[in-house]
Amino acid sequence: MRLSRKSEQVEVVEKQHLGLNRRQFLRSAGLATGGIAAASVLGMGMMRKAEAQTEFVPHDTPIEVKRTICSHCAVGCGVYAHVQDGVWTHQEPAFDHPFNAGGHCAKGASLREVGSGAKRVKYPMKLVNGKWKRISWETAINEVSERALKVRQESGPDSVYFMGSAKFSNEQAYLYRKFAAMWGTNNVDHSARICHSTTVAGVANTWGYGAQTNSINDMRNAKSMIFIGSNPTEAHPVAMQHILEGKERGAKVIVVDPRFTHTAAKCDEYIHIRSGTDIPFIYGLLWHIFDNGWQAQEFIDERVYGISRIQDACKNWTPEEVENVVGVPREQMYRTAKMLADNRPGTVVWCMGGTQHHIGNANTRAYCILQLALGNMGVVGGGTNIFRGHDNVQGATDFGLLNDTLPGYYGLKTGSWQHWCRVWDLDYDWVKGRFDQGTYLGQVPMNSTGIPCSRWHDGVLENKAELAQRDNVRMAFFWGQSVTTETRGQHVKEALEKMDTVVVVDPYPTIASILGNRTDGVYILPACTQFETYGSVSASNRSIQWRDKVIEPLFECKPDHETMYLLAQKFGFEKQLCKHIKVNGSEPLIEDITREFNRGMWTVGYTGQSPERLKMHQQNWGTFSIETLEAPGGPAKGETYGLPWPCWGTPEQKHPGTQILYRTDREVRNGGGTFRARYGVEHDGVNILAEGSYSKGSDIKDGYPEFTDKMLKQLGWWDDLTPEEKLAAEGRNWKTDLSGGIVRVAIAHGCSLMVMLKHVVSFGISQMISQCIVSRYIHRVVT
Amino acid sequence: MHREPLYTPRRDLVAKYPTYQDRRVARLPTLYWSIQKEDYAKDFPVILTTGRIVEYEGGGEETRSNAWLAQLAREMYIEINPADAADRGIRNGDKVEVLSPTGAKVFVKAMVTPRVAVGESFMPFHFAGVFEGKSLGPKYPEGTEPFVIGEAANTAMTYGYDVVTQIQETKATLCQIKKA
Ligand code: SF4
Repeated sequence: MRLSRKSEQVEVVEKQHLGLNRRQFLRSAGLATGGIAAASVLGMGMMRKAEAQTEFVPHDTPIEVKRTICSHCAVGCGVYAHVQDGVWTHQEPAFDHPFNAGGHCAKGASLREVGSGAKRVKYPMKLVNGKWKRISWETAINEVSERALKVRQESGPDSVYFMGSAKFSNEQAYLYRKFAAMWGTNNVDHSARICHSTTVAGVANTWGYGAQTNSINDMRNAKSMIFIGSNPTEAHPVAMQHILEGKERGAKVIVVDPRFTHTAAKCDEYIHIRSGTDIPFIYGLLWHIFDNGWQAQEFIDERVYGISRIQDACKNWTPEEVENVVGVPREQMYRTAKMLADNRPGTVVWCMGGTQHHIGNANTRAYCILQLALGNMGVVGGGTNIFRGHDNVQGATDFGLLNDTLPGYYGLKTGSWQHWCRVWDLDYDWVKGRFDQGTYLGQVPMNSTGIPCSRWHDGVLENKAELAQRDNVRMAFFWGQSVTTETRGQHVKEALEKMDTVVVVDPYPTIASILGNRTDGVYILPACTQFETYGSVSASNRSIQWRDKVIEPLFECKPDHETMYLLAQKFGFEKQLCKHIKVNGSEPLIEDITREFNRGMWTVGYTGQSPERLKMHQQNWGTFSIETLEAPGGPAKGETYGLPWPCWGTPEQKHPGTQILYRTDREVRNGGGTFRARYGVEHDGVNILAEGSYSKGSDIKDGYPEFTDKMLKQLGWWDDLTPEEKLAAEGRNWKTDLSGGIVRVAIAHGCSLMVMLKHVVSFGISQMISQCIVSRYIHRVVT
Repeated sequence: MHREPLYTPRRDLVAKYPTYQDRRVARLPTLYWSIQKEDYAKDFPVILTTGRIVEYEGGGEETRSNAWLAQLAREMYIEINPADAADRGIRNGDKVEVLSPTGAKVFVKAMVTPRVAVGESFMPFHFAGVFEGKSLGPKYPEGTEPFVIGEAANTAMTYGYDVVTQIQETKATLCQIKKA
């Protein structure tokens, strides 16, 4: 068996594949749709028919080996794709990849089929009198843009809805958000809204960043694991490699779920809770933890604010009340709490079972509080390992493909827009002028949260007077995400029928194109998958992985960034959209997009991951340790695989990436960090900066507020900046200084850009929520 | 701090753990109490939750169009406890009707299994292409109908949105299940 393929190896195929050359392939697929696909399903009889139409790629045709990443979940498994004469003939799970080490689930193992083009949309189409009609790309772009401009003219920019996708690469996600900004709307969103938005809100409110704090690999080091509403055996199968390794090393596995899942079948303790009772369950555990004095007192004193209020709240959740509401008996609650207390560090994993509730954000905060009480944060083997779903839902979230923020969680305030306008090198007033200038129910469209993708249909159906925008949604782009994900299916159907125009941009037609009873006004534009283009993708653990292009676009499909550019041309803002991005023909250059976001994403540290560094990591999968994700040697020596954000500073500063968030036992320059301020540095007159806790090697002991030009001057560090950096940093803070000088100097002094803050666990949920509504995600944005 | 689901089977807990008052979130009016105050539990006594299966991803449009995966998971279903099934005269593999408090009806196969507790049920969310019993297959552009289509779980899922982020409630609602 070939255990570790290197891409430079060229080998001869041992047996014949069903390989066709690209030209013949396209022709036959166009003629006999389903022929090839059916061959896979129906076996040899049909197979022979497919062969009859075509010729084989000669078996000894040289093989090109491409490195790509599975596009079916955020575990991010590495794949070696074999291509012969332009046809994807074979694939292998990468045995030398630090995430999957040769593992794949059914979805990953079937990727090559995507390259066969079965069931794909092959050319642009529109619905005419209830029949699908083939049209040219030119016609499609002309008609779609005319319809959008008409709606804009009549109802304003907010009447066009831009549904985006977690299947975009980072570059496409960023460009799509920018595209919506140039169009002049915040009615742009994607599936992060409907999977982990409550995590992002809840976790960020507790300790600053809404993301997986450790990594799936790090679960090998956990002593206990509690899964709440998470079923990795089915949803993140290859994560089980690491989970079961941890279990073999002695970790206790607890599964909390209304359903006895496949993951439950592997656990030490299965706990059935009634759906929607996560908070009483967690408080029930805390009741036993506090009752027995199992909390991590030292950690709490140094780094946690507000725990006494939690202790008070726990008093209501007596074992009897928990049994009544949740359905778990006292004995099992005690046993579970003890298991967690006796087996530290432990990690908490939650997924949709915790997030998709009308109280989802409060659920996610409760899980965080459990980890704080146990002292499981900022340590190897601990953390909140929140598994993301789609392959790039983490990246698309980070790049603000959301209705409530710009890329990097900067928010939507004027200062946030000004920051990005500086990055884009565009006049702020021009961007502002693209938006509806009115005020609706007290909200200004440019600065107010758009319609969430979970409720785009309410944007269509709701009484106009009740909407905080000028008019209803009248046209929507379903770009890489369909409408199966929205609840209340009857309303979804009705909304699809009511809109002027429905545009689907996708490799597959999706249900959005057919659910409504329409005879006209539906367009389908064929899109490439991620195997027909290239770029970066962020895995669940914040590692950023580069994908090769495996095959050329199939049929008439176009990569998403090209379709955006073609529409931008018609909308008249292609020059602004790509001011510093090279455009080849009509395709914006991916690497230039990466470099552009590197220049603006200071908040979360997406600044150090240049295309060159990411490609170098991609070429050296095998050099990274499966245990630590760090490279002990080789070209990436000392760096963490995929430079997980935050990767502070410019690429030249060579930050190694941060595998585990908030660990203070490492220098910041080496992947350490602290917590971020979201509520200021004081609450009710009490200092909430950390006390006696600081990153290793820090010149400032104790907590400190955020770095600004003024703070550098006060500290006497201003002259550490170069003259150019001084010019850029004047009047700025670390998040808005485009030179990266403030960041560089702070890190040189061992300081964290994240503020040395205590975890804030309880202000009373209602106050937290009201703060969140004002400005979700990063609370203290650009000023 | 606990709030009962909008569609809760535990009416006795609503007074003590009520949801929020209706309010505006983002640009939209958003309902909470005006839904929870109605008692749906009498007519829709079974808790319904949704989730993933290993073969498919998300709405399943891509993975149900993949022959290798489609072969492994061919039919939409609902998991129902043997006790609930017996009470309703439902056997494993029977066609059943899942009725939602919204008035929606979906037609799926019953998987009778103790994996779900008594009074609880589960549907995977990756299916689409059948709407309230009617196949949409012929409406797909030629040659693009996925290998597998089925009722979408979300057709039956109900109102409910997180007060901060507007995530949709897909994990705790109610339904009734009948033999079709
Ligand atoms: S675990 Fe996720 S990334 Fe890996 S093969 Fe399966 S779907 Fe793909």
